[in-house]
Amino acid sequence: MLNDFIKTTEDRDTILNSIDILSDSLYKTNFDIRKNLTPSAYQFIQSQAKGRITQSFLISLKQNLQDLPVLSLTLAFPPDEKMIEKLSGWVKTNVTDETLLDFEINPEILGGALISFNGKYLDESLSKKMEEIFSNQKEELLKTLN
Amino acid sequence: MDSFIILYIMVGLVFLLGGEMFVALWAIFRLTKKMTEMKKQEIHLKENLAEKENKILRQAQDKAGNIIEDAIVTASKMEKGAKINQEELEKILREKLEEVADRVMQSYQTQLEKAKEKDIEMFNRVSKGIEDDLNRHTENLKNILAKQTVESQEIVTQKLDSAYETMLAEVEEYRSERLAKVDEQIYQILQNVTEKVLGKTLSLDKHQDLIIQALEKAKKENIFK
Repeated sequence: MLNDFIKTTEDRDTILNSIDILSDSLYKTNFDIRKNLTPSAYQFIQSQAKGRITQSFLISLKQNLQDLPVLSLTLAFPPDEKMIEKLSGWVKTNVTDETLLDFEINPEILGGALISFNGKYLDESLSKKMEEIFSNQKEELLKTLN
Repeated sequence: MDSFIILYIMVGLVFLLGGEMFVALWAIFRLTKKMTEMKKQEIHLKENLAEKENKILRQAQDKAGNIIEDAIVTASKMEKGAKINQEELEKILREKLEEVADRVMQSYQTQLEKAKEKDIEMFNRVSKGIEDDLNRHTENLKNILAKQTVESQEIVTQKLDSAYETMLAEVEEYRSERLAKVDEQIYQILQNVTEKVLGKTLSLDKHQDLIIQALEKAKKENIFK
């Protein structure tokens, strides 16, 4: 259920921002929750509340969201929604249902990804593979320059 | 009475005047006579004078003629003598000339020796002066050269620095050019490398597959546990 609304840390930050707004305005009589929150944030909070939204609930929800595991991916280009969907699905299936994706963009890696999770790291970038190619087939490649 | 007195006086006066007139006439007569004599003497003197003049003139002409004749004779004699003594005269003259020339030459030699001695002395003084000047100029030249050497070294150092900076700039420019050229070629290189890695160029789907492959590898290496 969580993964339907929150796939990335960006989504989580949006939700956390909405929680802060809601928390500040919780007891204001003229506060219209639908107008001040994004639809996805509203739906997520409503789905998690299962009843009356209280301050303690918001604090607990905020804490839970902040404690969600994060898988960091450094990519060569910004992923579109379709790719995010596919990657998030893979993570839900192969890692955990609550793991969020955190994207960083670095065109220098050319392709592939740098993966970081719970202090572990793996470089599966295209640039690294190229470096290996350069070092293994240096002479042959330098001929291309001349 | 008075008439007689006057008559007597008159008569006396007449006599007196007659006497005076007589005296005067006598004096005139004497004077005229004297003048006539003087004229005669004058004429006589003039005649004598002319005669003397003529005489003197004649005597002078005679003397002149004699002198001319003597002169002609003397000249003729002298001419002959002169011809006879010409060779001797030339000899004497030559000897005199040689004597004078010798004296002049001797004097010249003496003066020359003196001048030479003076010149040598002056030359020694000048040489000393030149030596002093030369030493002074040499010292100045050494100082100038030393100064110019230092300045030249500074200039050379500056030029070397400048040349070094220029060279560095040129090297940097060359490097930039080469890098730009490499940048131009890098896409081709990347294409080639990519093809070597994947066998073909990357599409978006291939990128996505690469990321999934990376995740799969991470899973195999237990990154997610």
